[in-house]
Amino acid sequence: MPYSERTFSQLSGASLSVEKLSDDSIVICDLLSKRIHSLNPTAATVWEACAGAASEQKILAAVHSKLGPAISEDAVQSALENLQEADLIQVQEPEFTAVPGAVIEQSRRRALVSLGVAIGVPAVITLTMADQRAYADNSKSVPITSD
Amino acid sequence: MPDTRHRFSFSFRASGLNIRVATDSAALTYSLDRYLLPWLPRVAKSSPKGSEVVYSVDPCGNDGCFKIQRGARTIAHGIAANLLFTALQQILDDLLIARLGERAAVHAGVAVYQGHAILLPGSSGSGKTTLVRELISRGARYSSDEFAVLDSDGLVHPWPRALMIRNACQIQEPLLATELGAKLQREAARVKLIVLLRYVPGATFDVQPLAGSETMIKLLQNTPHVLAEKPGMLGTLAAACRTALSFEGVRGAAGEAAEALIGLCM
Repeated sequence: MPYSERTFSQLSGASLSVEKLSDDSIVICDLLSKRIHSLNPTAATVWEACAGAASEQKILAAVHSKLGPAISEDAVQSALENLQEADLIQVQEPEFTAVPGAVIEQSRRRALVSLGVAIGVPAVITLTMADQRAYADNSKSVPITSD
Repeated sequence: MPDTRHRFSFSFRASGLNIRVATDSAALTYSLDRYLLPWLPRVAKSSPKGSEVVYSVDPCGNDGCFKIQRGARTIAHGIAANLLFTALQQILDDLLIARLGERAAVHAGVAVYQGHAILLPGSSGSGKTTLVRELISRGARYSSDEFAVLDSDGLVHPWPRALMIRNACQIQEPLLATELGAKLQREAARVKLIVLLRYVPGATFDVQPLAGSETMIKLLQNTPHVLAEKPGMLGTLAAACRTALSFEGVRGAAGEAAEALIGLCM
């Protein structure tokens, strides 16, 4: 069974707070995992395409429809991997086959090669709430010694 | 409890609080009154609305240092005279920033050029004041050298505290923007530019666009608020990012950077 017949779907729920920006990038705050994710326009489009269970072809078509044909299949696969690592989507494997590891590795390699092209490179950046708190605490830099 | 120990004081009202600063030195009180949160109108000390918070400043020991008390509680001591103003200003900033309600603050220099707000997020010592000073010398209005106070409509409200300028001896001294000949921004302004700059000596101004979502992460790294305690802040920051162009990069000379920022703004 080819890799592309897997389906992807959003891991959504009441714990997610989503802010869409005017450039179609998205910030997702997951109160359950206490993480904040920044999805650039490419990653955000891929995530949105996963609103229902969608195959890679369907996701690719949605991305091309919105962002144009310059976005490569490798870039979409890279976005899917990033979104899985961030626990923002889940993958449903067909029951009767395993995903060949070599295919994934090949895709990853192709994706890395394509990173040289800035357009369409997906980016998922994650900030934990603990780190955000640390930034906030550090910003209060009053030289105070309390009694 | 009324403070009866000090002979000199001044009061102002902010965030539902009556705040009084009291000392036993006329000169010190004059200086603090002149430079501390200067945009807030002073009021009679017996304002009937709300509770009164009294900050008192007194010498501690014989080494020329000061202590700051809130009511009867010492909150800072051993403060050198040249750091006293900064310490008190930060204490009051923290107090008021924590009471902003639905608004959210970001550590950022803010200048408003022809109605467009330019936000320069960065931590203390990152050169915000220097850049803001260059912008106001080119006709921008002064909004703040430390805080961008954002609302859910994507507007930034002024927080025009005294600029901390290094003198010839490299000691920071407060200076009002009006003393530099600048005009103050008195109304909220739409955020047009958010630019994160790193100072590299000798570098040429060079920035790249940032996605709105990346800008939000940068703002979350530069706010004194904890998102877990103020979740509504996400929408507030998003409102600013929706209207703004965002960039990140390096700068060298502040004057060249100010010219480039104005160019990006127009």
